Amino acid sequence: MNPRILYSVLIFLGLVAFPWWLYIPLIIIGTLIFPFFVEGILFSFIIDAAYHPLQESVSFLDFPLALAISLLILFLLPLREHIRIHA
Amino acid sequence: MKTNYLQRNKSTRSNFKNAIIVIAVFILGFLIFSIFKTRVLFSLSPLWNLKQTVLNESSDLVSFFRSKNALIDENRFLKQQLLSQQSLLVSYNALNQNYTTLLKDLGQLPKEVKIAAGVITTPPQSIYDVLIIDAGKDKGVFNGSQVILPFGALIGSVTGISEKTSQITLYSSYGIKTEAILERTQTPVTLTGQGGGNYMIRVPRDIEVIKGDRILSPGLNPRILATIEDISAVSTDSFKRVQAQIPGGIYQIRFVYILK
Repeated sequence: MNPRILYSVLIFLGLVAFPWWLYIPLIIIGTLIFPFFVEGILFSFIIDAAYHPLQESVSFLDFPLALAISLLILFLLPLREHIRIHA
Repeated sequence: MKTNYLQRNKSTRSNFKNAIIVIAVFILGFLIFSIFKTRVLFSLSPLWNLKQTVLNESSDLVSFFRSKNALIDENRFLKQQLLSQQSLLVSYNALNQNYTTLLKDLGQLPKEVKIAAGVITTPPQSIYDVLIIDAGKDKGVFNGSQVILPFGALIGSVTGISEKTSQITLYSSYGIKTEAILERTQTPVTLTGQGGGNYMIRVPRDIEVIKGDRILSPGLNPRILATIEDISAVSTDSFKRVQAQIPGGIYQIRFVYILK
């Protein structure tokens, strides 16, 4: 099985059954290990939608984790080129 | 000719394209999840229920294989805890009875309708100090309803609701401010949520505060919000930092009542 899919399944199980200090690092590690890990943004949206208190007005700050993970992926895009590892 | 260096323009262009995709995914996700936020609660509830069932079954299995000594120790610990809770309950009931009599005299007896609900997820599973309970619109829960523990402590309010589940934001969520009263001195204070069932209060130095004091909600029918756990004072500060906690903590909450 594709390790990326397996990892995504692990994150999904984590957000349903495990504490946040387990599934949040999993998402962060996923963005570091896998290039262009947009699945991480999707999982962050699910976490924010399930656990973040609903506000009266809708804003990007309703999804702080998704925003943080998106910014992390954006930050890693150019950085990844410079830290390319040659086997 | 073989090149063994990065083609800078190509990688910059590809990065730019990927950045646009990430931004598009975020905006799309924001729009979809803003509209269908309550559907997420609804969709995840069967999985949370399944997790709860598995946990209950596995805890039964674990206790079956545990040693006799461990069970005796646990039994002793639970008996002690029960005794301390019973003594608390006795004092609480006595106070409550006095209060009810007082309110009856004033002609303002509260009429409460409560909905019982089981807790599906508690912190630390939820990252933002929220509880998910198994009662929703089907049981008549509505947004803004206050939530209390079985022994009466006020812990939060309903902030999200779906057909069969609801989201409760605890007053102890980080940054949430709640007006309250120190029972001993009847001083109004503001509780600031610190997460994990903890509150922080700043009270003037000359106000007497003792560990174990109760903090109540304001109004004619006050409820216990927290008990004082720790007091610290710096000689240069005219205020004391008081740490308070939801009685019993939030990690063991199994059932709650929602006030209609």
